[in-house]
Amino acid sequence: MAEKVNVCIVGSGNWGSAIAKIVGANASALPEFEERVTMFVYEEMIDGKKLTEIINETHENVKYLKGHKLPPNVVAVPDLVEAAKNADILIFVVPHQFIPNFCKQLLGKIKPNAIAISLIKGFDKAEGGGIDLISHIITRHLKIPCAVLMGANLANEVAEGNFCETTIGCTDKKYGKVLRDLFQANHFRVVVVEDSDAVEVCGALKNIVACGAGFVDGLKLGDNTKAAVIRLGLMEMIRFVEVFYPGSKLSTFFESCGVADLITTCYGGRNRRVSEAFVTSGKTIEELEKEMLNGQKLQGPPTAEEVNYMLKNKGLEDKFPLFTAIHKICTNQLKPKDLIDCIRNHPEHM
Amino acid sequence: MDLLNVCIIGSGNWATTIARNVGINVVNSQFMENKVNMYVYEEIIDGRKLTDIINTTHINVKYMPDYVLPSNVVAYDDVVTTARDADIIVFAIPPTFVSSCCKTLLGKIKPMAHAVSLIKGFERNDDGQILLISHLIMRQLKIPCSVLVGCNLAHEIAHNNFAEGTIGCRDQKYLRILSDLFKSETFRVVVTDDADCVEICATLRNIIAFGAGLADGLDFNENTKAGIIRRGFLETLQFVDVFYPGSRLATFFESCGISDLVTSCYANRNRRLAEAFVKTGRPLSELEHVLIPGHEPLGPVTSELINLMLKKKGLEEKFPLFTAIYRICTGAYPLSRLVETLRFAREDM
Repeated sequence: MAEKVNVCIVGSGNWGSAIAKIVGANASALPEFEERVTMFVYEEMIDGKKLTEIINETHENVKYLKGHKLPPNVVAVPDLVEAAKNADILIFVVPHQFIPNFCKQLLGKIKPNAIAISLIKGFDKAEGGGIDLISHIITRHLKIPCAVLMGANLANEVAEGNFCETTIGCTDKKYGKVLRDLFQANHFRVVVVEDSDAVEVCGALKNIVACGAGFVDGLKLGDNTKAAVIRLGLMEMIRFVEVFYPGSKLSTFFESCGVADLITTCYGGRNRRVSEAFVTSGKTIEELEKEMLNGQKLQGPPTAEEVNYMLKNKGLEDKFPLFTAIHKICTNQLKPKDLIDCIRNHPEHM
Repeated sequence: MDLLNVCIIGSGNWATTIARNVGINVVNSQFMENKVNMYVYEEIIDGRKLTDIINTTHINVKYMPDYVLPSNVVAYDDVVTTARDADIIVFAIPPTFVSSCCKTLLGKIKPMAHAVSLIKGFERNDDGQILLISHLIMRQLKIPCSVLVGCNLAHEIAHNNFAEGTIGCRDQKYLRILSDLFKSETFRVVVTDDADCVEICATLRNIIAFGAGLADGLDFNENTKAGIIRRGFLETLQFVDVFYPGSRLATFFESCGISDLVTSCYANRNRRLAEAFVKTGRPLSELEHVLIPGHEPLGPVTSELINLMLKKKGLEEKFPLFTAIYRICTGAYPLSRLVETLRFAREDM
C-alpha cells in the first residue's frame, strides 16, 4: 500500500459510530491514511430527514450516538458498494446476521487486495451446528484476510473518551502496524497479536462464563465461588481454543480480549445481570429478555448452545463441565443450584 | 510407614476454618494420625479459658462461633507441646508473630517435619526487601515450607461455599498428601511446585486491589478498572520473572493468581481502603487504622517494599503501575497519574 490507505466503516450503530470518532481523527492526523473515511449508513428517516444527510451536515449520528460529534472527514454513504469500493481497509461493525448478505453485495466490487477487520462480537451458527467465526465468514465470502478487534470496550465509554484497552487479532504481521495506527488513540490502547481466532473466540465464550457468574450472584454464593467460576470459565475458554482453534498462545488470554473483557463482563455485563435475575425471579430467559433488554437477545445462552453442540460432537462435554452446566441451566435441563455440583470435580482439580 | 501427625499453629478464623477440613480429612486417611493439635493463643472468655471451651464444646467461640470443629482437633495453649510430634506443621498466625514463634520452636520439632504456611503477608528482610513468610519459616526452622493460598475468604469457606485454593509445594512427596489434607467437597485444591510464585501472587495482588480501589474512588468505569487489573496482572508476571525466576505461566491461571486477584479487586479491604482514600482525602495512615484493623499488610506498605526492590534494580519504569501506585500512596503523584500510567505502559513485555 504505497499510496494512501483508504478506509471504510461498514456500519453506523452505537459501536460503529464510537469507533468512527477514533478512526476519523486518525485518518486526518496521520499521513499514511486518506483523510476521507466513508461510513456505510443504513438509510433511515429521522423526523422527515435522511440519517445520512443529518450525519453529513451536523456530524452527529442522532440515532445511535447522540451527543457526540463525528470528525467531519467521516462521510456517511447510504450505498454499501459505493462506500466500500475504494477501501483498502474495511471495518465491519454491523449486527452479525447481516454479514453474509453484505458480503454477497460486496463480492467482486471491492479492491482485491483490501483487508477487513471485524469489530463484531458474536458469531454465526455454522451449517449443521457449532460456531462459525465472523472473521471466517468474511474471509470465505470476500476472499480477503480479516482481522478482529475485541476487548473490554463499551461503545459509550469509548465515545466518552474513557480510557480502555483493546486487542487486535491479525494473523498477517504486515498489517499489524497499519491497523494499530488506525485504531490507537490516547484513551484507546491497542495491542496487536497474531492469534486472531483466539481473540475472537474469547469475545464469544466470555458471555457463557458471565451467565455462570450471574447464576452465582443470583444464588448468593459469595465472592470466592464467583472467582472460582470465573477462573474455571477462563480455563475452559483456553481449553476450548486449544481443541477447536489450536496453535494459540497462552499469553493472548492475558490481553484485553481475554482476562480483562471476561472480568468486566462477569461483574458488569448484561449476561450476568439477566442470569442473576433468572435465578432470583424464576422467569425464563425469554421473559427476562423482554423485560430487561427490550426483547434484545442475550448472547450467552445461544453461545452456550452452539458450544455444547461442538463439545457433544467430540464427546467432550465432561471435559467442559462449566460450559455444559450453564447450557443445561439455560435450557432448564438443570436447576441453577446444581451448578456447583457440576464443577466440584472439575478436570482442573484432578 | 508411621502415621503422619499434623498440627495447626493458630486459631483465628482462617486457622479454625482449615482445622475443620484437616480434622475431617485425617480421620478419612489411612496415612494420618487422627489427633490434630491446634495451638490456641490463650484468652479468657467469660471467665473460661478459650482452650477449655474449644476442647469441651469444639467451638472456637472467639473467632468462629457458628462452627463446630471435629472432636479430634485438640486445642493447646503451648506451641511446643502442639508441634513437637508433628510431621506437618500448618502455620496460620499473623505474619508479625511468625519469627518469634519459630524461635520458640527451633530445636523442639521433628527434624524432618514439613511446614505449610497459610499466612497472608510477608516480613521485611534486613535490607528492607520483601521476605516471603515461607522463606522466613524455612530459614528459621530449617525445614521445607509449602504454602496454601488462594481465593479464600474464611467465612465463605466456613459456610461451605464453593471455593478454590492453590498449594505451592516444596517437596514432591507431599504433593498428594497436602492436597488430601486441606481439600473438602467445597474447597478444591490444586497443587503446584511453584511455591514462590504462589506466595508472591498473593502479596502483589494487595497492590493491584489498591489500584482497583483508586479507580473505583475516582469513579472510573469498568473498562478502565479492567485495564488496571490486567496491567497489574502483567506486572505480576514480570515481577515474578525478575525476582523469582523459573516460574510457570500456568501458575498465574490458578486460583492464587487470577481468582484471588479478581476477588481482591472487587471485594477486598485494599480496594475499600483505596476508595476511601480518594473519596475522603484523608491520609492513608489514618484510614488504615480506622477502616481496616488487622494484621495483613495492605497495598500501600506492600507497594513501598516492592518499590524498594524495583528501585534497587533500576526497574521502576518497567513497572509503571506498581510504581505509580506507590507514588500515589506517598503523595508524590497526583491521582490522575493512574490512568496516564496505563496509557503509556509498554506493551512489549
